[in-house]
Amino acid sequence: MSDDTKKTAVIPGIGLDIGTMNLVSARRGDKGITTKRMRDVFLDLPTSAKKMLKLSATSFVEREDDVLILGDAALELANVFGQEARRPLSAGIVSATESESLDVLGLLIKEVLGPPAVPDEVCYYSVPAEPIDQPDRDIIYHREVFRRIVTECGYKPFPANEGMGIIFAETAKEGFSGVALSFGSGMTNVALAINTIEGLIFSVARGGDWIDRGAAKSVGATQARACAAKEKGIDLTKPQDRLEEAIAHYYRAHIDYVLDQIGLRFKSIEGKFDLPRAIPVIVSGGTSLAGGFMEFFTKVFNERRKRFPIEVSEIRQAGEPLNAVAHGLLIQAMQEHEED
Amino acid sequence: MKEARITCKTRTVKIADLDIDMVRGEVVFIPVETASASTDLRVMQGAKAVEVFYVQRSQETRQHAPSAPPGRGTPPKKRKAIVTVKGHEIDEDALADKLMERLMPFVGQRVSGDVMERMQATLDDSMQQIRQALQGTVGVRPGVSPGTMVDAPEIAFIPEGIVGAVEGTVEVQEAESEGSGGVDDAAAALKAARKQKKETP
Repeated sequence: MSDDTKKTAVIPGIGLDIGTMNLVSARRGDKGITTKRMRDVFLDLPTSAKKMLKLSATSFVEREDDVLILGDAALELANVFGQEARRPLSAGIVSATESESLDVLGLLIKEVLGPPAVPDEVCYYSVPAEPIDQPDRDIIYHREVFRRIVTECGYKPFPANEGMGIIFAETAKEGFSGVALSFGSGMTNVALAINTIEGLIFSVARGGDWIDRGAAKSVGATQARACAAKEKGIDLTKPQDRLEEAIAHYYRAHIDYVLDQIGLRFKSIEGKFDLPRAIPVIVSGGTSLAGGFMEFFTKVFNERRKRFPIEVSEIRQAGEPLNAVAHGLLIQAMQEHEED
Repeated sequence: MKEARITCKTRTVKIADLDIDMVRGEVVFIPVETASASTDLRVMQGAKAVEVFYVQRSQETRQHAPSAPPGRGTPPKKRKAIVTVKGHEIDEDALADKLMERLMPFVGQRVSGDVMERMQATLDDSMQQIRQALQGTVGVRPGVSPGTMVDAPEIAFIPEGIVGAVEGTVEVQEAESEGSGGVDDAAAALKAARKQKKETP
């Protein structure tokens, strides 16, 4: 099949999930859904490291004073060089003072999105909700930075809430009603929707990084090591060593904290809307991929179920926790093209 | 009458003992005796900041130079601007709105040391952003030699040209699923739900 034919088979519209740890794009291809993912991290090394990088066949971007390693390779090499990989996003939100990171983000997003399939192709990109536990941080700069980047990539940008992305991807059979929990690396996003309508959205500025940091500190390890142990395939219900045990404890504390915040926020809007029926809780995000997470979460939730302000029909994990937000955004983007 | 013609060769020069301030290209005539007596003029000449020529001027065509320079060497001239900076209007309302947006979360909070600290940090951060945005809009930018015309960059809350500032090849993990993984069904359901909502008064 020629490139041109391939292009025409693609349904216009793309979803872009911008996370602290991963950038994920999703578009409808001729066979199925094409997802592109890369780590939202980079590492800057002196130019003297170039030879070594060439020998190890690691892709890098050469600049005047240094070389940049981007994505997964950056995370792997950070351990080799005993450095922390740099994150363009901090706790889910782009840093206003990290202007260098913006340039890197520009390149990463351009690669993850690829060229638009049609002129002015619609791109729905994820934006977190305002963190309730860090009122001094807002999402305005974040939202506008990505609007600029997506526009410069040749797309028509539409910012959309991250939690609502999960609602659109995962709750069609419930008429787009449910509570979505996106356990990310930098933050945890919560969305309550009733029949496609956004009822309540907020985020807490704690996520996988908070777990790694806390667990590492408590056993004298590095955050990178805690992250690696977590991603290697930890089972939260059966920790194998001190570090894994610490990680499990921090997971528990994190889930407790998120449920506490949900309880408080939902209480504040109780009586302001009617829930005609019980709705599902959808759990998603990279941090929810740890082994035993759902068992863990359900146990903690059940301990509080009676005090939980809304009736929950079931707790289930998103079909593809790493891609659910991008899928939900893709659905909205495709819709936008259909309405045009 | 013989006079010294002093031409300024640098951006600005001050000949203190003659009480003369000059800008590049400016020419001043002073009596030879005064010029010879000036130590500062010699220093400036040695530093190639000024060029001095002794000239005989015709009284018919030129006015006699002031006999002594107790005051300024020459009457003030209309000086040419060395660097022209294109003015840009700052939307003060937009800046105020942005600042207010960032400070709004503090409204209604109980005043405590912690809140005040975070508010101050937010304010400092905002001021820093404003300063960064304003940088390069006045004066000579690095790398631009004096005397050239420069256009100040637009004041931008978010810089332009983010994409393309760093170029390179990046390895991206790509996967294509068999089937739509529920996306098509969800899209159809969403379309139906929105249609129904539109039709229902």
